[in-house]
Amino acid sequence: MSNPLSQEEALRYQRQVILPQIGEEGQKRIQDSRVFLAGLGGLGSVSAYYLAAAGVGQLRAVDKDRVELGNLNRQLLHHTGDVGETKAESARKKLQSLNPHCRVEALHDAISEDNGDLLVGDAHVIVDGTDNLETRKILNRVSLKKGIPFVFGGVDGLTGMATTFIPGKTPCFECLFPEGTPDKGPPGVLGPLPGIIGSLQALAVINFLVGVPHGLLMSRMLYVDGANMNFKMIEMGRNSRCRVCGADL
Amino acid sequence: MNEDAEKIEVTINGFTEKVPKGSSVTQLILTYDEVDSAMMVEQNGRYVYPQTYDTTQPVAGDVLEFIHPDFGG
Repeated sequence: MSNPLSQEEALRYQRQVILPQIGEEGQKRIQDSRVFLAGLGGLGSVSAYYLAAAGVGQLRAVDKDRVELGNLNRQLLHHTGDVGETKAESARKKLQSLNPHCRVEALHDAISEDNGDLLVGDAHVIVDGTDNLETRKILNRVSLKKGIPFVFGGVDGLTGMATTFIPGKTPCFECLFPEGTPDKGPPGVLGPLPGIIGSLQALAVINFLVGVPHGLLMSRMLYVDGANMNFKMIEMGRNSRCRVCGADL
Repeated sequence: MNEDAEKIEVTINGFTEKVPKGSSVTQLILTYDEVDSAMMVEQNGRYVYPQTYDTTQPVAGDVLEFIHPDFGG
């Protein structure tokens, strides 16, 4: 475990440390944690901010893109002056400025089958901030191989969804989505939707780190319909026919 | 679907619909033109796996949602 909280840290985190679910013990767990974040777009911007602010010990974030003007309606880590900069470097600057106690490793790289395992490394949890099915499948398999949670999020238009896949306990990503999906081009997205989903993902990660098992969205998919302000939960059993994780049922 | 078949009322995507009794989820997907390889089907708050679409027959009062998943980030 890490050293006791410094005076500065105690002050910085006081509003969460006073929560019975966190406490000083939980805060130390957060500070001892290593989180892997795939993608620094709309979802990743928000989850990264909250995870860094909460005091995650190490945040390794990977994104292959550069900041574009068209990102700025929803990707809050990146500002107008960052256009043209790699998202990794743009994110690193903001997150390090927000919380210098969080060790931010921001990598300008593409996640592939070849490097997924290496990039995730010894992280305790994987957070999904990607925008495509293929990368999610790679992360799902790394999650299963390493036995660590994969906190999924996705948005499209005015809807979004989130759940946490936990190897051996819940369906995996490919239980639910074994097939590809037609490429319909970049979806329209209103900023608050990735804000909501990214926040839920960060919350699920923190709940996992401090040991609040009911706060993980295990075997439940939260579906948000922003057009009707409707939040609903979809219960999910495991898929014995899953060709990726079904064998361990 | 057979027009003469006995009908039951179910809720599909928020709307009350009369569908032939004994219709499978597969048939309803086709009828409501919801074919999408990654689509999710929810029945009474539970996820329905595609391998059971043929054998899952909603009953009167069931609530079904065809959800096109969100993969943007």
